[in-house]
Amino acid sequence: MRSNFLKAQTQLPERTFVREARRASGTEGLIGVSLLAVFVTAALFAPLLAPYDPAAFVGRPLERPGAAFLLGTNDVGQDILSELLFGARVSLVVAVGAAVGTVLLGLLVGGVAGYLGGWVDAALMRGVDVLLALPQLPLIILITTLTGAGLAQMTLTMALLFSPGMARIIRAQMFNQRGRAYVKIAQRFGASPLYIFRRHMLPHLAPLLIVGLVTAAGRAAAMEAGLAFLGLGDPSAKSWGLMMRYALNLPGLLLTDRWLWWLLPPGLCITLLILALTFTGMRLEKRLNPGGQSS
Amino acid sequence: MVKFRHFRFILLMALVFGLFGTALAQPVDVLRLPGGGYWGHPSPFGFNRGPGYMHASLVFDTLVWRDESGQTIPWLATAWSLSDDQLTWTFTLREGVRWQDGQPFTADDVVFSIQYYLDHPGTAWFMAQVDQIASVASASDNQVAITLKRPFAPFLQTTAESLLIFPRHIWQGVDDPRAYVEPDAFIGSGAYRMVEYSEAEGTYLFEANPDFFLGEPYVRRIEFVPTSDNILALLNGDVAAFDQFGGVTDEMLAPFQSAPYQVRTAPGEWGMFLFFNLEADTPLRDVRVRQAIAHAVDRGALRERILFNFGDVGSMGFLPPANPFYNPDVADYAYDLDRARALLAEAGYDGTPIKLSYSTDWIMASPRVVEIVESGLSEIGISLEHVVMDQAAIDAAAVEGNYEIGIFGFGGLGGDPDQLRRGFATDSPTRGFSRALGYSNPDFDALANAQISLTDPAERRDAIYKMQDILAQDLPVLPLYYTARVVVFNAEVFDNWYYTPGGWGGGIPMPYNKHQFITGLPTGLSIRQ
Repeated sequence: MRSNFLKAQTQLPERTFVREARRASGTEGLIGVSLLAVFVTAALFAPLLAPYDPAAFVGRPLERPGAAFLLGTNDVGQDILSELLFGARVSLVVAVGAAVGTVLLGLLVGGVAGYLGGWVDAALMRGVDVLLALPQLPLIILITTLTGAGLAQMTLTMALLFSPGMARIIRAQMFNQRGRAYVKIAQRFGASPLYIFRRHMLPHLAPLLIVGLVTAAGRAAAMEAGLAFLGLGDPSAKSWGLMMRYALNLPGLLLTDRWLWWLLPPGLCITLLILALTFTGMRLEKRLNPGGQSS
Repeated sequence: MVKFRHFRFILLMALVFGLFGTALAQPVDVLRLPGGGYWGHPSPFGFNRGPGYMHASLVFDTLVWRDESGQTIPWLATAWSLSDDQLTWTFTLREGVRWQDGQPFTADDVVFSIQYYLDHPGTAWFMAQVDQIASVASASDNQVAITLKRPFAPFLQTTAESLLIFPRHIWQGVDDPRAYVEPDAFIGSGAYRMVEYSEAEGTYLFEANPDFFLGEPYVRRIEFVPTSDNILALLNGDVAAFDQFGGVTDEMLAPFQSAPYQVRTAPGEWGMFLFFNLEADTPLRDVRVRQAIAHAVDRGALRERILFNFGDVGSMGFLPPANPFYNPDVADYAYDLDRARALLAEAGYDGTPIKLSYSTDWIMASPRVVEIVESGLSEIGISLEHVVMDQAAIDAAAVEGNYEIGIFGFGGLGGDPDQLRRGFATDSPTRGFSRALGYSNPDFDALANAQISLTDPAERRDAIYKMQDILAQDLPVLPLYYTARVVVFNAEVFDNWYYTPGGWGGGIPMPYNKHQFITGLPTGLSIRQ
């Protein structure tokens, strides 16, 4: 009796929380998608929206916000607002690139392992285990240091590092589907593996892939910002993380109100972008995978 | 508002403690200064660049040193003389000096150290001119004779003052000196013992050596600690001073305009350069391409946007205005894109991309420099391929000649102008970031090798002026700017900060001359009481 009572006590608030979260998820998804739309618009139309070429030295260094420069100028006299708008491109390119790479790699490795099983599966999964066990940030720092800090290398590295988790989920789902009667029957009728994959497996995988895509995008955006902030990003790709790095590089930045228009906006943009991707991902996960079987 | 109140509190505390502090804290118990990475370990062979030499100089001594007067002062040697043929310097060594492990310091140690540098080329501090030394021998129990290959006017300032002397009994069996990091690698004769360091974190801790030959140092303990923002660190009392090369605004110095803080400035002796590697087969071998680049790089913009006008634009003769041998009349290449395009066309430049190597480490501010340099070069149709490295890698690339255009920054430019020979003469054995690779001009070489033996200052100046003229014509290197310097300090902790004329340790422009910590006074060898 007592233990049941305790259980009820502890479970009750959790249940309410879950229910409320469910109810809120509509709003959450709306916020996520709208924010995402804002960032995509900024990225696509940056040349039209930005008052200046973000690389041009249009003002004096360290100008305060005014009519000419709404967010002032940075240490070399570039317009901060224009940098911010163009910065959306870097973040989104990395996010989308790394996400697509993650899903494709995960699909390839997980799909092959899950479909073929046996020693191929064992070998691939041990590789996946190794990658999963490695700490990601130090590894990516090492790789970008060795290969040079190009945006492309960084994106590929992230895809490589994020894909093992994806591969595992896909493999599990494949295993699950492989034993089903309709798959066996299709095989008996001589359907090719590719046909079976396309016709029977992919529809089951689609929700996982979409959620994986959005999650990986969020992680990639955060990691790019972190790397750029550490000074390990591509110095020619002015991302928000790099803007923050440059701002903090100015001695005494936090002593004046300069941080308000130089440090805060890119920080806010990164936060909001990751938030947008997370919200969208959560919403999609609930929508496409209501049972919550996946990761 | 909260921030403001906080400040007042700090100010009050500083005042309260300051009052007691000045009354009680004599000498200085702890001097905490901003540290940082990439300076190596403070053995005579393990350090990198000027800041690394500074750490090692606390533990190891040289024959002579210099103070705020800029004059050579006695150190391990109490007297020195030059033979009539100007080839042999005889140093009389101080009596009763002991190594930090208690062993006596002798003439043998000095002979061994210098012979070791001669036998292991490339191990000596790059500002020291070991290649000018023919032989070294002890002349008596406390005398050492150093014989030069030819009369070498700046021997005392460049070499006797910068070669660290180390104990024979520790180093005689060591084959790979740079890798030697046993505890006894840090035993010197110096005023400070190395207690602890972490290369990765950039922390270094030194404690006064009570048996130091001048007496117990005025500053008892020096700690270098990592900081993220030096201005905040000084205001918070995390450090007692910081210094900065260029990039200083009035806004940054505003919090330090009243007691207990003081600000001291000095002109630029640290420069940023584009080094053109003429050993590599690139369009840069054509002087017109280099001249076009000089016309296309807006040095005024670099001064304004990188230095915030705190410093000078590059002089094509290499030496900065702060050097007494600076030639103000060398060829200048005004920012002129049309002229640059015409020169490129004349040279027949075909758009071949040129590799630009630089470091993203913020100590050098290179990425911002790259932005400004590239904006000009792309205007005239030069395409650059970026090669980005960390500081250690770029310093290694400079030694190996593994670059086409390298953006290198370094100090010592206020020191003896013999650095022009070291950097640009065909037969100079110097390797590293201050050496122009593949450059060879017989007229320059003749002047460079003549000037070192000229003892008449006017004659020497004349030769050095001409060398700068040649460099400005040939442009093996494009000087971008020289950073002015500032040291900001809390005078209640330690007030004896000065900039050494011509730099110390062969030309280091930082305000960390150990003499000021040891004596607590600007000049002389007595210790402040």
